[in-house]
Amino acid sequence: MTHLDQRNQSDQRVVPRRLVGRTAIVTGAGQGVGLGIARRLAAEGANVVIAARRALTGDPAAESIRALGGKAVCIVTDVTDRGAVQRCVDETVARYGGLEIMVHNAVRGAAGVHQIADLDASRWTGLSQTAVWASFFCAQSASPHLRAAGVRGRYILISSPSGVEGSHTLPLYSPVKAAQRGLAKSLAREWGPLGVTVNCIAPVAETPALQSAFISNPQLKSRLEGRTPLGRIGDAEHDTGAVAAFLASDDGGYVTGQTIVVDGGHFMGF
Amino acid sequence: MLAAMDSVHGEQRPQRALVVGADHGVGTAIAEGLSRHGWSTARLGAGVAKSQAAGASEIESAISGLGGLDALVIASWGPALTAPKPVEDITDDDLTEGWEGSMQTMIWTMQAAFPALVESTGRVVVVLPTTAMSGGRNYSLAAATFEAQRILMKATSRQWGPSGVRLNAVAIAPESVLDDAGIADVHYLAPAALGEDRSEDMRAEDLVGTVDFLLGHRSSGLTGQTLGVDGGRWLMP
Repeated sequence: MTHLDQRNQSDQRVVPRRLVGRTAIVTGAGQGVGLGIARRLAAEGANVVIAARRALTGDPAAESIRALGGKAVCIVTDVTDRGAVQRCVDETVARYGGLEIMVHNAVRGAAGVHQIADLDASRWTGLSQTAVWASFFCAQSASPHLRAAGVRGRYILISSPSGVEGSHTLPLYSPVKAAQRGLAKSLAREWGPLGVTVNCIAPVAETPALQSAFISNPQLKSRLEGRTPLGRIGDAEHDTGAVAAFLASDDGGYVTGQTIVVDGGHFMGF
Repeated sequence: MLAAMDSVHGEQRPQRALVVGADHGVGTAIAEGLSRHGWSTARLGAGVAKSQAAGASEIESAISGLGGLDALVIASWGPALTAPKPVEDITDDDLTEGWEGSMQTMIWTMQAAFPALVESTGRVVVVLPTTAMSGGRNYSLAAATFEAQRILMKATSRQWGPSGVRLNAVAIAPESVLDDAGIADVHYLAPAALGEDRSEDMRAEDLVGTVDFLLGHRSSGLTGQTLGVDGGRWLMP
């Protein structure tokens, strides 16, 4: 049996409906990990808002969820704009009556090997604004609604294994992902007394960006698979999304301030 | 300038250190302590390199004044990080001053210092509070920034290792950095494994001693590591 067969076999399990009646915003959900998370949250019954920078990706993403019977809309949102994030939250609450789950996944500028010794400021700006400034914007805009949701309130940040171990090839991507972990631990302490949980997921999943990297470097996929104990690259919906749904559900209600690495066992350094 | 020298197994090695963040208590203590340990030091404020251009200018000038660079100490933080504030109250100015100021100072300082560090197979030490790893209630901006600095150190240690440059971090007790560490809600940090009676007198000289060790020859096998210098309050990896 191949790894793909094993995965498909596991996908035939019944997806629980733990999030019926809850509303989630997922940033950067037009494609990749964000879309995988949005699909899984919708499959578990959540009303999902695809917060995408471009309708070009956000609208089809929402349509793909609706086509499967889920509830989803796209609200075009540039997460680096504090006002735009606030408008997304306001529109979500006006439409669905509340907000229980905020997932910040969007990041820009992650691609491309870079060297500290010769990089320029523009690479830093994109990463800093989308990964860090936007993490604060999402927390601040969602805060009154997550507080109101109490023990059902969730803030999930999509970090990266490189935000734990530091990446040789992506030295600026690593600290912005680490910043999200520091933020999550602190917010877990601030919001814990209300029952709201705050966690990070550090995934490795097959995304359009990773697929492009595989095309330009044909050996990369087999090399990644070879150093991963489970022998395959993760799936954005069935692997990363499943962990997000667990954290978003009542089942994950006693987990807070943590980073769950979802990478097939490649990183075990905690 | 006649540079100070370090003698290890008979080998003479210059000891020229630049301390960034020497305008606050911890940075000043490190700079003064390194001078006592025989280092020639140049001292710059925490916000010296908030832009790439400013970093290049100020850092290169300081290195020129030292006649080269063997060690760089970064203890870069300002009031936006040390004052407690709930996440809901963090402003764009706080993010600009606390996050961007501290991170860009570290990035552009290291970038500007890189050629001199390669020439000397030099050392970098980043000083930060254990709040980086623990998080802290009403200190979300500080925890985000300091953990980002710590992981940037690790990533850079991977890139610069082949050039012979070593980078490490020293994690100190939160109350050495934060205005009100008590509010950060990190109960597990107490009591110190070394005992409370040592908590006051150990900080300056023990911190300097560890920084001096990491900047010298004897630590050549260490890079990308975080050493806790807090009397044993943070005992997790």
